[in-house]
Amino acid sequence: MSLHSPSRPVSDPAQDDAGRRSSRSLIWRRFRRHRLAHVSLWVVVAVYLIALFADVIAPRSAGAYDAEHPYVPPQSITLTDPGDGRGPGLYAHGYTQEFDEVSWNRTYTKDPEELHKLGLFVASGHDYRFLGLIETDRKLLAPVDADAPFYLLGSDANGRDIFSRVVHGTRVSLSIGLFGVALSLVIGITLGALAGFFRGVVDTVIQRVTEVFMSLPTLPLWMALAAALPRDWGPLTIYFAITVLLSLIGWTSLSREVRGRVLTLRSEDYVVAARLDGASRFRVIRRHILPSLTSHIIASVTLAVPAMILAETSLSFLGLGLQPPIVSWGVLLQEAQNIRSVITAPWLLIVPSAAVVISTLALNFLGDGLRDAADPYGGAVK
Amino acid sequence: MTLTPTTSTRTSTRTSTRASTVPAPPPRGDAAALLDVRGLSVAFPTDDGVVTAVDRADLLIRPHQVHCLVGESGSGKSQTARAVLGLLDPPGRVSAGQALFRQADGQVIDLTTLRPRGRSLRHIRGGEIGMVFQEPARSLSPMHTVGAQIAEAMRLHRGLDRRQAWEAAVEALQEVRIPRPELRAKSYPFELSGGMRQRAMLAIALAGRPRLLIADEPTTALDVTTQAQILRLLRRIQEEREMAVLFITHDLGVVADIADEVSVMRRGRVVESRDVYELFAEPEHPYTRMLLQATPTPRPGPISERSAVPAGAPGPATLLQVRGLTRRFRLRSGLFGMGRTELQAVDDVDLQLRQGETLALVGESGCGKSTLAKCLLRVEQPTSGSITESLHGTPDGAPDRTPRARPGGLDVATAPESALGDYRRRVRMVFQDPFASLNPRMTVRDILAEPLRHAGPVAQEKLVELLELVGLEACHLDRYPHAFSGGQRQRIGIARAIATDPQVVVADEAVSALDVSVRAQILDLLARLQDERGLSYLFISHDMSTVEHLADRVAVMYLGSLVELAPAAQLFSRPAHPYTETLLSAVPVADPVRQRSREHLPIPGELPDPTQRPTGCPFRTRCRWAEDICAEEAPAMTEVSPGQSAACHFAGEITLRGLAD
Amino acid sequence: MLPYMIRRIGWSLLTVWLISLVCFFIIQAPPGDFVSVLMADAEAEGRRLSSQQVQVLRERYALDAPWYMQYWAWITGIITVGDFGYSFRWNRPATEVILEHLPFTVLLAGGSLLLTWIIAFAIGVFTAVRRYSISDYLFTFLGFIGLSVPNFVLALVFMYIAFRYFGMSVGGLFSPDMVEAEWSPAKAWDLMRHLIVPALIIATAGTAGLIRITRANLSDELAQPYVTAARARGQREGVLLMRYPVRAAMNPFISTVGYAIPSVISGEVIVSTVLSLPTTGPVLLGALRNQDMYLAGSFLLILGVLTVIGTVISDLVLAWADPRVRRQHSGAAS
Repeated sequence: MSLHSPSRPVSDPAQDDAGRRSSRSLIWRRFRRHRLAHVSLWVVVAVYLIALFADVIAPRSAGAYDAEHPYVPPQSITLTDPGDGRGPGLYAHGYTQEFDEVSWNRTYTKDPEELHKLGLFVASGHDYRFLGLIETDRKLLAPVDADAPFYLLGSDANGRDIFSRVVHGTRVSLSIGLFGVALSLVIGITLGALAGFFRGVVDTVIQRVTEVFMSLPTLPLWMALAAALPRDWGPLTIYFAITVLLSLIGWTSLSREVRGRVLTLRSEDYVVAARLDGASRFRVIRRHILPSLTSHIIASVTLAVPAMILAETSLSFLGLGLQPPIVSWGVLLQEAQNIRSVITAPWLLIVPSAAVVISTLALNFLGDGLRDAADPYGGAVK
Repeated sequence: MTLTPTTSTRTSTRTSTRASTVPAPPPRGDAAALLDVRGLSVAFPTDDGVVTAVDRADLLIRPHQVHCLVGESGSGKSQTARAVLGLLDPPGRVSAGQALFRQADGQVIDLTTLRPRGRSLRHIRGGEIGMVFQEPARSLSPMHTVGAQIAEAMRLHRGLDRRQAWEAAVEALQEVRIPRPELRAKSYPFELSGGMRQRAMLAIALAGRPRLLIADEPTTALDVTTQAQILRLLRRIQEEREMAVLFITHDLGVVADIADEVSVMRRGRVVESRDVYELFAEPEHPYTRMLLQATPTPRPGPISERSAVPAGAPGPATLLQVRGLTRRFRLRSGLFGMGRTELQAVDDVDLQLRQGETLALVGESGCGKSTLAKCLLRVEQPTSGSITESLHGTPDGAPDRTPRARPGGLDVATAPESALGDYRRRVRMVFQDPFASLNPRMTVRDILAEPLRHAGPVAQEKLVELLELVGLEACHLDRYPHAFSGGQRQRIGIARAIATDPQVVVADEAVSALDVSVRAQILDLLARLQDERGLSYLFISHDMSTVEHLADRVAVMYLGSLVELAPAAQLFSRPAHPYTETLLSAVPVADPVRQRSREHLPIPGELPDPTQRPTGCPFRTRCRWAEDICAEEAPAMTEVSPGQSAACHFAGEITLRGLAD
Repeated sequence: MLPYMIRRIGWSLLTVWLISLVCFFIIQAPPGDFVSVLMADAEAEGRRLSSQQVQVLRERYALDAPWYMQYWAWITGIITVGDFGYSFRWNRPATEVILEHLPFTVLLAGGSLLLTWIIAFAIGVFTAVRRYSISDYLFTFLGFIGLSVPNFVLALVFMYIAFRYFGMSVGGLFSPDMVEAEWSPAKAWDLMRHLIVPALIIATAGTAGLIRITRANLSDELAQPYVTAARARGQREGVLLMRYPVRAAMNPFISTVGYAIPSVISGEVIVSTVLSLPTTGPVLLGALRNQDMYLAGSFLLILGVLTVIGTVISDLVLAWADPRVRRQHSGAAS
């Protein structure tokens, strides 16, 4: 249905700047209407920034422990001036510890008197290489007194700072999602485009293989393959192996999507026209088919990342994925498997879960918005 | 695009309407009106403001009368009809006006005040006012049988039980002349042909014995012979039932055929509302005049007045020689796809295209005309046959890098893809769909430069020159296709086609998707380019009126076979093949006097399934001249008069009617 | 229709064969064969397997032959006598262990699938009809949360809440007093009560996707002219909604079953592990952790085959339910 109001001239691109808008800007315009997706975009950017700057943001290293402070509840921060000459600023409350000799239970009560001054970019005394380049020991937000207890989101049984661990885990979990998807993408696009473009036998074979992989229950298969990894591999090797495993099974849906799109596109009039214009087969694919695919591919990829993050988390949770000392969200959640410790310290479950949920939710919304906006020429805006 | 949002509320518009702005409906005894639409406005709130689809439209429909509502796409004609029945798609709504309907008991109600989902409007829908839609294929649910959908209407409006309703449905199918109605009632819509689906839709619309039938472009999606059948059926039922019909169409030929009274709509307004003869004879509104002018009507008069190519004389050089061209498609069927059904899309066609001429290829859907065009450019690979080119010179001054000598006579049908580059610069194509044929992600500059890339960098001047040739401007170069209207896009498509300075342009239904007025402009452009550059056109079309106006020679196809080839003037006045005669008889002439004085041939049957071609002559199942021999032997093309040949056993023996008869 | 059925089943047999190859590969993946693992285990416990025992086992599974002979020995054993190999962890034939746990898995997976359907259908239809309303956004949001929260986190949260606020220890499929009881309506009811929460947790993951598909499909169908046509013949809104567009939009419900099964099975494995339900999940996990590969591979094979069977059935049901699909497969022209 086309509507022309009396006030709307049929079209006069000469007077109209919209005509100069490329598909990219049209997609962006449509995308921005999806408010949730727009907000999610910034959340995703923030999460990736956290991953990138994990070393600065986390007050401690992932493995730093303190046997004196197990199961410390999250500390609260206030903006105040204790009036003891330290001046106004951000202060974290301390706790008084009581240890019950009989039940071996530790109880923490908030101590309003004990305040630890916090500072921005304070020296922590622990050197690290910022972005692998510059040696420094500055931390974004840390107690001025490097030895003061600082557990923003509580601590675990070994007195490790959950906040720091989650921030470090972000790096691992997100990068696995990203690398895994990148690998899936290469496999998926190659096979999908081959199947869609050449059809015939190539298509049939690829379709069969895709179908086999799709009918396998993914998690058990992942589990089996992960379990089959040699026990003597180091954590880093395991990390890469898991990434490869996830991507090997994750490419199927991408490949299907690409194949379907290529099949429709190759019979589009404008692709036929390009052939008649004398464009080579390579040019037809690169210049006329791929550009129309990219937006859809980006959307699919965005939706594949959270699925892969969840997969890694599940595997690690089951003890078949990444192994300590590598810290990922899944590894952190594995430590929350014991219901007793969760009862004692709910933050063990809540904090990593929240990290998983917030980032996958944002990625899902982002992907959803991109998918809706991916085809700016597909009829009216819904 | 600029939009002036209409912010007026419904009531305020209503008062202003009543005040003065709109001329009062024609004083023709409104008491007799069946449906009286007054000052109806339909608004669609969008993100960019309110779009007014219908703007204070007036319409008066009397009982027992066929009222045609004509307009181009986007004129608001469909929205007017939908508004009457409360069927506007959200977010559309009636923003002003009334639709006064006189019910069977004489009571007049304003349909726009009824709740769209309320009981009283539901009773009106189907019970008092029936509606038929444009696309019969999509207007019937694919999940239910045709009979079930008719029976549903029967149960709703006649209070029948399940069994009675089914019987009534079968009866209704009989009434709309569907053969073997008991069997057809059990068919799913996609198992029926387009014509049969539309008959079934009609049966549904008529189930509640409505006093007004709204038919929204009911024949637009159909072939011309099917259209003629449906129009005749509609007229007959309208007379039998003494029903009024509001017939919505963009085709003035159809209007001339069926209308008693006509309203012309433009940009949401009814600009003229008259008796059909008066309107065609002396249109008042400039827009009506323009529409009538842009609509081709066959030129009356004997052959001698028209310029026919003198036959036998050493004519212009042949550029393309097609011999025995065949394209078969294999459809998989049966176990593991091992069974094969063959579809003969193009069957043994001989054809030649001469320098400077316009050869039209006509026929109904599925006759293979588009496949033939695609074979010519090797978008499709011909199964057998040859296409010999005798083009000369080099296109766009590029050095001829192909090592063969000219005139070469390359066999396009078998040449390797790599050897076709030069040929494809000499023979170019304009596509049907102006929206699908331009890459939405490329600017006009890139689109036009694409065919010129082979010869190195493309000069800006060259592109500007191309744009100006087709009536666009240099400032359009950096815009994307979405900024252009359908007509402008088709101009870009034409510019792309002539960019390589070709000798032949294949235009596959190049104007079919365009509105009448735009169509006329594009046809003018094509004619001008032909004059200036000596182009030859292969013009593929299903629209006989357009073809009559611009073709030098016409080739008629039926079920993949060429059945007649003749100079245009001859073909339209003295066709030699019975199918051509049928086709011409079915074409509505956009002149009510001539259209209604023509003798209409009976059009029997339907287009057969292309996979089940009749033996012998493909047309014999629908031919009134058919005899035993037609089933046994496929007729060959025989020359009946200079330049005119037909594939009929009786060609030359029988006298057939032309378009003007 | 019959040729289509035969064709469809033929292809799925090929798929099953490929799956069996993958499973066999997984069985073979750990270094050493299972008899040597068995011997090592026995030695660790201070026992010794007699060389005769070892020989019988080696011959039965053709362990000294090339891999394809081993595969042949394995797969023929499964097909002819249902011998899935030997679980040294349980010290029993794998078949027994599988049969013990599989029914609960099927029950739980089936229950989750059913719940997924019910929830997705209701919400999908509702949101499509009320598009862009507040409730549409709300339900869509909820669906996405379901998609984004890992199954096991939900399970953990559920356990935490049950324990913390209701003092209940959840887990298992029966109340303590029912475990040993004879089958009775009371025991069946007890099973149902224990199944509902895990099933609901598993269902959350698949529901969002299905809601989205339903909503998109139904929105497309609602815009179809046949809906307007049905309205134009005076049909009531509710009746025509269910009879035409909803009916047409139901296809994904049937067609996605095939792909929903793998995800439901995956969910089942992890949720059962957290809630320690006696289904295949924890057993598979245990088998994998202990490199009890025959048991693990067999589970994988069975789960894969179940999925394929589900897919085939869903395709056939689809062809039965939708005249368009039926026609497409009957090989008719045009």
